[in-house]
Amino acid sequence: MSVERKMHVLLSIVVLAGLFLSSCTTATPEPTKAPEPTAPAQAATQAPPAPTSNKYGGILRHAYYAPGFLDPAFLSSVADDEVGKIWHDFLVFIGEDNQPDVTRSVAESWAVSDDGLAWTFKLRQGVLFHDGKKMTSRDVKFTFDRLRDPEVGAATVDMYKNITDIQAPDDYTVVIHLSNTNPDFLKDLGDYHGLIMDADGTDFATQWNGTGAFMIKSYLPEERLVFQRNPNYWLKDEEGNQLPYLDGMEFIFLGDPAAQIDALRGGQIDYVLYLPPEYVQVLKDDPNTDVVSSRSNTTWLIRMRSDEEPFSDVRVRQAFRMATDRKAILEGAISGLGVTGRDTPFGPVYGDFYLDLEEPVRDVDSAKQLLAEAGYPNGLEIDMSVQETSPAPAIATIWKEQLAEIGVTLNLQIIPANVYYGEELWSTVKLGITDWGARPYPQPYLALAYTCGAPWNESHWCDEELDEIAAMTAKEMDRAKRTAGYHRIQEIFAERGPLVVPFFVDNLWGVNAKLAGLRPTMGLGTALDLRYVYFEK
Amino acid sequence: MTTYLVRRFAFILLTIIAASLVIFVATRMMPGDVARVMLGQFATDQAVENLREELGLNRPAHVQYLDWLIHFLTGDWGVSLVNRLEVRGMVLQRLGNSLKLAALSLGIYVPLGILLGVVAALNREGPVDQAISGLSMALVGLPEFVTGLVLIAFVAISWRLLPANSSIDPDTPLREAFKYLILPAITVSLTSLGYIARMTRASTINVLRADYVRAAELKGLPRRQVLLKHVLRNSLLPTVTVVAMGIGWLIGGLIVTESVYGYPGLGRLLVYGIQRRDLILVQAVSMVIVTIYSFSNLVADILYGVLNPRIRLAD
Repeated sequence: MSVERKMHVLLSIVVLAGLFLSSCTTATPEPTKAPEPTAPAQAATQAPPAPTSNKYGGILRHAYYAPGFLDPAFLSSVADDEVGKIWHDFLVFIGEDNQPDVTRSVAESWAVSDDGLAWTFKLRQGVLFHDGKKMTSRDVKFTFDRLRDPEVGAATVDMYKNITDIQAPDDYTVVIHLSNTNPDFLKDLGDYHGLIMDADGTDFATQWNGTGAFMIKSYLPEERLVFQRNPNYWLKDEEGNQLPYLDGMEFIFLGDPAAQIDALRGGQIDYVLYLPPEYVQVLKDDPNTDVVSSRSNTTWLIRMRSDEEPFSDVRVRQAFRMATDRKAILEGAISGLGVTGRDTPFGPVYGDFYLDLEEPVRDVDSAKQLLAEAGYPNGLEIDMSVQETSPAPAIATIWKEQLAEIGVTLNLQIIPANVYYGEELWSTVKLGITDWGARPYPQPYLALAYTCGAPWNESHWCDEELDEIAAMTAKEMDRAKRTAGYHRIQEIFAERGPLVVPFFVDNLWGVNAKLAGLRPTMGLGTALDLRYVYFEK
Repeated sequence: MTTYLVRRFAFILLTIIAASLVIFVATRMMPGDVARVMLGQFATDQAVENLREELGLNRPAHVQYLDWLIHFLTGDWGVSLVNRLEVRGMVLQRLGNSLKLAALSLGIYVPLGILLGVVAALNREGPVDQAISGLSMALVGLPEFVTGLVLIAFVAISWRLLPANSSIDPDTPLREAFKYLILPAITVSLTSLGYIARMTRASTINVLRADYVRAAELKGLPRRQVLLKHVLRNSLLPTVTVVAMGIGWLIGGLIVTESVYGYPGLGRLLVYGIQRRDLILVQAVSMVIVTIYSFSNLVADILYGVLNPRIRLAD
């Protein structure tokens, strides 16, 4: 910072600033207000008796990155995702275990036809939009028609290309027809864009009319978003108490994790998402705060570009993998807050789809020999692009030392994440560390990154056998056959794949110690289901 | 004086227009396609193209520039590319916050810095002077993120006296908002206090050596009067020159302090805008900062004349 910029200011300026100030406070705009809830008459008569549970009350304060565009079709970041699900409902709600949960969905039941091509959803009655309008099949049809319309151009167009028609035979029935069978269709519908929208809406950036547990009270872009409890919400807890418990929520937009942690420890906020592992101990030691965690499939994987020297030679890829001590990276980079990987994109959260291979044992001599056979008897030197976002630099530093023992010199290039992704480095460099969020099922990884010609095939890998199996698992409705397919795919990764997966990192949250009813999720967006959250009195 | 002011205003307008050109060109040179950034990396090419058309990004650059400038000058600052809401309200809201923080910081460090500087100068080379000079030196060297984090660790977290996070609710009345402002203001003040003290000390020592001060003392004026009328008036002159820069920094440059405390000021809004490639927002914030810089320079020049009759401007 230059000397001039830090220079002083004369007392009289204070007066001037004061004048400015007074003129500006009058210019300060009212935050945009959402429509006031107008509970319709019938809702009032249907309303349950006054809440008796002592879980009611309180305002949850939370800090995270600011969301972008609030239109559900254009949600993109994690912040968009977590905000969207607060004031909307899903046709199919995906629970914390990555499985559809009908009790929390606005569909009260679903069934698939014998040929697997027609899905019928029965909708719950009594679901109301915040303006009092009843949610019907028309709104559901509108939502998914909009999400698959190339003219609208939502990110989901490709995912829903398989849908040929959506019908609404009556107010509470929706039938969706597919061109091909899709065993993961419910999970596709539960994608974070799949928020039920008002079919009568005209401008989704400014009209905030969802059916969710909370309603938007005021929104100051890049600053704060205030929610209030939806008094007409349909969901009840096990004892029949109407949800949500909280009176409201305040989201403060504050991207810096250190500032979020300070605010949590100082008692200004109650809940932090994506707690960086380095803060876990601090929050555990503080009597006012606590840490909640869950396994996940989120990973920071090292990917080798397999269509260029030196990684086009499978022996080089094998040598690099063999030289890796995954446990050391797990401990060193994220303090052991996760599980080691098997160099496949699938982790243990996928249950029976996961193939529990032996953890690879580090073998420096064999790695050296493989390198020599591949034509690098004296080792080799290679650049590696590393995002500066934690824990990527730590992973790279530890791995660099491990590879040095087989004669490989890594030149680490630490770069900002927005350059790594923005300038397409992630999909072009020979060696890089890419972070992958947890998907609720394995198939998207194959479709997005590991089949020939996949849009995000960052490792430029193309394996015929894998492609064939992936095409099968995408459509096969028989679970046993799919399971066998996924197992073989994991073996292929372990034999000849383009990845080193040191670990899957746990999802971590920092919370006010008084916060209860938390349901840690293994899911992609790690936003918790805040409908059940309450303050212990 | 009036002609002078008219000339200066015309000059300021020219400066702002010149700056607007630089801002416009610079924001267009930010990497990344705006439409692509807005829709996210998963959006279809068709949607991106539609949006480019809708935003007028396919028009020639000079047309886009003139269109933007005219709208800006007439009070239409455009719609944010990220959240599709009017940026004017956002920017003015943040400007209000920045001015509050700037005013409180100035109120702390300017009088305190001048006081310390004068006391040090009067006790030149004595233990008091050495203590003050040492402290100033240390404060100048400490970056805001260090003082900020230390203050948060003790005042906010260990003792829980003041909030660690200063994201004030815009509806908070000023009286209550005050407690959210104290820590950031102290942090800003600590970095600037040392400068003020050192500078005031140096110029006061110079002035104390001047003949007219000795003359004033010899003719028997009370010491207080000598200090206020003859010494301070002259020794504060160099300070005034850099006042303008200080104001601009306080309004738009407190990025570190604002980030440490999560204070919703203009500096952080500018960083948000840049990170999200929100050209419209970046342009609006930059224009506001340029305007504040220009006008605080003007105020400094006028104050200069008030303090020093020798350069007072004749009509």
